[in-house]
Amino acid sequence: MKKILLALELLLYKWLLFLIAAVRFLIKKCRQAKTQEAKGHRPYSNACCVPIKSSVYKKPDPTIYDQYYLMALGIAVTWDNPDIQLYYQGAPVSSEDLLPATEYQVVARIWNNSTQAVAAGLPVKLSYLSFGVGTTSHAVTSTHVNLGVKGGAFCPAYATMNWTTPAIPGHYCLQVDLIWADDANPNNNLGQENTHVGIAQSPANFSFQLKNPDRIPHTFHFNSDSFVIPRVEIRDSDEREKKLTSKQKWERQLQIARRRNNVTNFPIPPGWSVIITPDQLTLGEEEEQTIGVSIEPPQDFVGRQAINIHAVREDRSVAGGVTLYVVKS
Amino acid sequence: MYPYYTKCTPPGSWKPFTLGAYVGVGIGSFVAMIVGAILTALSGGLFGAVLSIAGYVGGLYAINGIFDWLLGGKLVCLAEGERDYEIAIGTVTVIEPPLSDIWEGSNIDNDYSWNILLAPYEIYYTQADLVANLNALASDPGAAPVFSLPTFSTQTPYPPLDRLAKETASVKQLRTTYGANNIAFTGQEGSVNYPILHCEIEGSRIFDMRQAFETILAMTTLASILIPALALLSIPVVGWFLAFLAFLAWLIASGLAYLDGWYNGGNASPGDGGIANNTDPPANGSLSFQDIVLVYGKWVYDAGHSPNAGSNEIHPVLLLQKLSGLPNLNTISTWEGLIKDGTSVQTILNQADNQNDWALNPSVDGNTPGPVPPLQ
Repeated sequence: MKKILLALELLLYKWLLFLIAAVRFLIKKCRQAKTQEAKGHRPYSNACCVPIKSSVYKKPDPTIYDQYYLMALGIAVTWDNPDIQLYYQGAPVSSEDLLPATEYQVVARIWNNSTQAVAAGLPVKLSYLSFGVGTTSHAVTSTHVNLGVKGGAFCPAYATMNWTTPAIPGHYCLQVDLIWADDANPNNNLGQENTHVGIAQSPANFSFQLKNPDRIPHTFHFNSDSFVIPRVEIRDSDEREKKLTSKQKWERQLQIARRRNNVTNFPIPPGWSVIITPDQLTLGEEEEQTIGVSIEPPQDFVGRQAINIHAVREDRSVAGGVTLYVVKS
Repeated sequence: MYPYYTKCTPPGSWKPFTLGAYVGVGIGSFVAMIVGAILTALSGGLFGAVLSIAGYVGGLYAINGIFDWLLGGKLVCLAEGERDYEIAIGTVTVIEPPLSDIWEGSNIDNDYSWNILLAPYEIYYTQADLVANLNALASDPGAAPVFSLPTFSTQTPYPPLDRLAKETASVKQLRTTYGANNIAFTGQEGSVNYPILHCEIEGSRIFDMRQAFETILAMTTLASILIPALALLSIPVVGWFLAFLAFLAWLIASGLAYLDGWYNGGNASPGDGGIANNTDPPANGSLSFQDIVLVYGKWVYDAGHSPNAGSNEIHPVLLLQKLSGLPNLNTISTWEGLIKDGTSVQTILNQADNQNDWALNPSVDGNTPGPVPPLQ
């Protein structure tokens, strides 16, 4: 009934009000223009934070294979980062096989998860850490890349940075961090490369540093698995439904990611033994301890096997991890 | 692509807005309606009814004419071809969000607008500005800030973005008044000209209301023939009854069309635009005075800031990004290249390809990419 009355109002006289309103709109615009000129362009609205939810407003989402982010989503990871590669004199080299005091080129592959927003001059920072978990980061250098939208000619972008390894021989981790103030997802910007190769000499022995960088004590335990990134060339057709909302698409992709990168599908292989010493420990503020890992393959093993060790705090958050490769020819 | 509802007119085809004509038609229509109604009441004759309906139709045409001008007449294309779309980078100085009440004058236009001071010019606060702002905020928490601008002498004489806010040769030929509100600035250091550009995200209300009026016009035209014909040509009682039924049908259908236009007129703010190739989550946030923004959209002269006066704009805005600082002007062409690539047909086709169907990382939920390629 109310709507019928409203319709009657509209038909009988509000069309005239509409005409008057249109004319008033034009006159008001004219007055606003003059007032604004006199006042010197002061905002009509409050100076801060006028909501804008329009789909015109876009944020780029620069991203790299970020182990911390992925593990927080329940996705298995490797610390052999697929988006970070080292080169020596133009030839690719493995990060576990570096010479001291030698200059390498680190190339980081940077993706944009936005189909519309771009990032010109995106800062990319490179740092290294002692091989291990939670160890102190040392800034190396930074550079900029011009990152286009997903699917465009400028995505992915490649950041190349020179790094001279420390003079003290040892194993080091690399971190690549992407910095963008108005980032759609600032949690997927830190990629880490932590690998080490050991020759299986019954057993293969490794060690790495575990540090508690916090100001409160933490208790750590370790998870291990044999996850490697599965190669997927062709997507199943049922995975490619179109016309999904962004939320639906996100949920679908998360399901795909969890299914494909499910840690329960990558247990320590039968016949293998992985012993971590100690397997649980509490570290005080800034305290650091060497963790030993002894990996024994079956007698008949030949080849290269990845074993991932993840350090997990008492609150179940991931402190970091390493990927250890056992090689036997 | 974000939906937009206006189109610009080439300078050669542009016609000024004849406000007097529309007001005249509107008033004439209303008078015709009233006179027609009085005549009908007094004499019961058909002439009065026809006059009344004709007045009503005339009024609708007047409104529709204004809608047409707002959607397709007031914007003048400033360039043709690829450079129709421009990039502007600058500092937000004014924000005009859309309001909700359609009957409150300017709210017919539910665009979301703002002005930017084009890079490389920056605003800053002098001691006097800060004192003035503190005093103003003490009495009015919503007071707009006072700020200053550097003098021209510290800047490049003609930075590349200045041209966006300057009157073009084609607009000089038109019978309009340029730059009533966008280019002059009176700051603490006196009156100087700074390139300020207006930017608008379009709301759909005017478009939706015009669609409603077009429907009503068609129905009213039909009714204005059908109802008198039924009343006149049919046998008296049945004819009157049929005419009454036709009148009721017209009344209800027109009312529904009005309501549809009214309620569907989405503000530019609440994200009413679906983007065909867009899989990004909505970047809800806010725009603030002094934000540094990149704006990409159609570069036009808007002659509708007041009847036949206006200035250059980015209208409609198709992409808005916030930046952490004013970039070096040498990078403008880089931004432009990235955005042009991002809006190219090939990129949009690529985005639909399964190669780009990932949300976390291609190695995690997409087609596994190859190794990082060798150094170039």
